[in-house]
Amino acid sequence: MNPDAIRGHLDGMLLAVLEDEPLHGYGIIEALHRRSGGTLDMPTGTVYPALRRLERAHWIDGSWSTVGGRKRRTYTLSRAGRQELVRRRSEWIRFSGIVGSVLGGTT
Amino acid sequence: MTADPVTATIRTLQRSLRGPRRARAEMVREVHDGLADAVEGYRDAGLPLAEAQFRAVADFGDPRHVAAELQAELAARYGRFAAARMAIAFPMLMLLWDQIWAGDPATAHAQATTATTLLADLIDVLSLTAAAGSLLARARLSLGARRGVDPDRVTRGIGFLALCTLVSIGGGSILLNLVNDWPDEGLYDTPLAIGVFLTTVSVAIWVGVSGHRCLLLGRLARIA
Repeated sequence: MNPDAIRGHLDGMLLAVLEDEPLHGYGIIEALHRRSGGTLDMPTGTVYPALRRLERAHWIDGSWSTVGGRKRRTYTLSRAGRQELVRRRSEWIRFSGIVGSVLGGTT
Repeated sequence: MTADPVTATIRTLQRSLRGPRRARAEMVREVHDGLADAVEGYRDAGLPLAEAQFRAVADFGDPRHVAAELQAELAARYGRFAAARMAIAFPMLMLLWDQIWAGDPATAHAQATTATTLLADLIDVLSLTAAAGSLLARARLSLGARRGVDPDRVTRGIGFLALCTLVSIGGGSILLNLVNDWPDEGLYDTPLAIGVFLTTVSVAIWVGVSGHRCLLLGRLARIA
């Protein structure tokens, strides 16, 4: 899958994987990998600046905590982030529906 | 002796990043933790250490690209810090100087001079405008992240605002003391006046340094 195409949706996907539980950087990368069935092909390094950007937007909250006996920076979805995720989901459903209709991939 | 790929990647990040020391150290540590976890994951899958490290670093991508994106976040962080303090410092100095002039008997005479009054009012307006501009810039760095506002540009704007305010208020204050015709004996002799003067000098130095750093970090993030 084209990494540039993924990049445009990275913020939404990061919010989505944090929906169920707080995760640290590598946990988020693993969740992205797992949810995509291993098909998400992008440099994992891009996740870290994106997390900082989402934190600056107050969509996620980052804090240092001890996970498995090691200190980790853990991220939690904020209330504003949850609302943004809902908005992005509905936008994506609408968008993919329109493109699917035009391309003929959906019935 | 050649460093292992993980150490080399971390060193590249450390060398590339500029900005607030603590934030920088936290970012590097977070990346280091993530790479260590990735290596551990590959090791658990049965790969030898060298292969696990190679894979983790390959998955990570070019550390210079990651550093460039982290640099923008460091610039934004410093810009927010500087803007918040500028928003407090400018009105605070205005109020402190107002206290000194209001408490001095020569003020009544000074207020009778139109040019002096206008200049003093102009300095107050500049202070409040700069404070409002700082608050606005800070909001653009926070909530602007939701709309894809370029943090490099906003941070440079904060630096520009800091230096312009420093020059205009500093110049205005010097001019105010030159054009006034009140008897200034004793005006700056009180402990309060000396304290306010020293505070003003400290804040002016801080604003100058912060403004310069904002310009520098904003420029670094742009070219990174």
